[in-house]
Amino acid sequence: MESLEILSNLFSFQNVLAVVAGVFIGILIGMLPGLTANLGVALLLPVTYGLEPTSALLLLVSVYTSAIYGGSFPAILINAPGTSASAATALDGYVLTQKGQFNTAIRVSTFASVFGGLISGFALLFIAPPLSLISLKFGPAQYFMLAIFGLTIIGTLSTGNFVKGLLAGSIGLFLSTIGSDLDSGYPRFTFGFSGLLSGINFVPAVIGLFSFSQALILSEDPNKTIQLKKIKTDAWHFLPKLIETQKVFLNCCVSSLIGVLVGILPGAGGDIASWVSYNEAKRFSKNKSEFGKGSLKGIAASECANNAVTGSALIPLLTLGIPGSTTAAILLGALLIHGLLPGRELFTTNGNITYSVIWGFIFANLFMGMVGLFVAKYFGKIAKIPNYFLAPSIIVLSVVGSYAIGNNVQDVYTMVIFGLVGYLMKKLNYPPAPLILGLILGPIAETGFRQSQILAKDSVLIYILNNNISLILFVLTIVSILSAIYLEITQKVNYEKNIS
Amino acid sequence: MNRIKSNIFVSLLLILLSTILFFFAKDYPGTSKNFPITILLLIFILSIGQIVISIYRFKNIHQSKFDIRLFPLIIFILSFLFIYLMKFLNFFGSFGLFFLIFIYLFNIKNKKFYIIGSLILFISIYLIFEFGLKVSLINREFLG
Repeated sequence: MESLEILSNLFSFQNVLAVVAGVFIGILIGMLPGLTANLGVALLLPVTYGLEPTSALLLLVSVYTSAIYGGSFPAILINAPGTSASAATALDGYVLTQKGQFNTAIRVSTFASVFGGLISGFALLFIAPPLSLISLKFGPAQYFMLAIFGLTIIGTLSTGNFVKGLLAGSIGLFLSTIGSDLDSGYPRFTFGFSGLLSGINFVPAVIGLFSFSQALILSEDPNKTIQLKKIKTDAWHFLPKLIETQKVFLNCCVSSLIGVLVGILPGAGGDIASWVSYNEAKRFSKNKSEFGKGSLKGIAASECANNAVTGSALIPLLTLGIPGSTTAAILLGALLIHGLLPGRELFTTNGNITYSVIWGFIFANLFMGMVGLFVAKYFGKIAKIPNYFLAPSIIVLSVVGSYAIGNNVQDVYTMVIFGLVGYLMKKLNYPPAPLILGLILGPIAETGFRQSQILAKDSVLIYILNNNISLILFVLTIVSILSAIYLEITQKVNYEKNIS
Repeated sequence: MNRIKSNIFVSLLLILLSTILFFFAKDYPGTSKNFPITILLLIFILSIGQIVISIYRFKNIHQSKFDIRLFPLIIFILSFLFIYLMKFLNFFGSFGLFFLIFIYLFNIKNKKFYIIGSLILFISIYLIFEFGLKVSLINREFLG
């Protein structure tokens, strides 16, 4: 009965439309170099306000997985990865294009992306529900430590300089304190602006940091267009050939596993998974020399792993509220907008929504493959859209999107200010993801901290750490900071060795 | 400005801001000051750490210039201006004008593609937001 309910919910007209639209939009965004899955999800976030929670989340997860796949097109055809997760794909994909085998490369990349996406979808379906049981044991102390751990791991993993990541996260935490204090009602850091009393709305902040800032980056080089050379290419087959799939099948299995594992780790996104998977495929290959020279296994390893991340990155998000990737951090915001709190409740009270979204995600991956192979023929025309059109279009969509949140012009100003902040952060190599996460997790961390203060008989620190879960999270936080310091030092030593 | 200088400049700015904000926060009543003060202290310490790292890590590395181009800054200012103008011209009037200014700003050659593309974009926005999401972009509610 429950399964039938989920199926009827999933295949309602609005939900199917959300998946179809999400897949098309995602592939288009991924295809355009300079546009990312983050940008796509951030831009569509306000559109989901008017939708049912299931449709809203289906639209966003479909955009997420399809944009990662769409990034393989420019990587293969013009050696310009549409998303950072497809950088490893370009190594072999572009060589194949030069050899006149563009269609073969696209077919293999499509097969691998769909394979990885499906595995991650099923991983999400089977791992997330039992894992969510842990959240039942969470109280104020555990939630406080969880927020701190989430911020630390994202801050340390998302950039080459972990201090910048932590700083960005801390600034996000600070920004979350602006507005009326939830307990006393006292206005904090509002400086007389009544508009700040309700705090900073994180949706305009997300749109500004990820979309508006990207428009500013694109406008640096407004007349940049992609020059496509006329290439001879092999005959078009809609379905991958059996021999191609046999060749990469084992690779896809291993790469999916790597992608799923990397995705579950908070902060490690598709780019890390695709490079780890590519290196492992090369390491275990009998013919290592073929890698970098047009290897189908290389394309499959990279594409399979980066799409395998998309579903598994939602596992820590849905169960504990820790996003596994930057896009998942934005999706956390989407959950909160629709009144859905990560944890066990998502799989019990709101089970109908959650399971529909998970099955919809699996369905979106299948549909993505079909659309991708259909759209591939028109890639040349889509990729030629110049920056002078993309930049103002993104700005206009950002403006109208941030206005639509609450029919409030103040949100639009907030978005533009965060857009400039995001632009400067990108220029200064500060990752924007920890800032957004700080803004989202700030209230959770502060509430946990203050409730712990009330409950603690002696020291609040002793109270927070006086249970196994908090202690484990505390140890993990320390380990993530120490490993980041270690990486920082070894990078410096390696650099000096290379110089000498 | 090279990377070391820009990193140090930003860190100094954060130190200054966190110090000023600390003096505001310390007067907040009861427990409402604890969390912000902790975070401001963290920002202060991390900024000092960033200065040390910038000097230690990057001193031997060839420094790429930190440059901010003119176009993004112009667009940022124009965006502010046109959001303000929405009060008088509505969304479509204001951002229609915004789109037209880009033709001269970016010296766009293929005007036909640009104008047709813009029209399609604006019509799509109108249909999606007015009819799909019931967000009025034309009536007086939008005038702020």
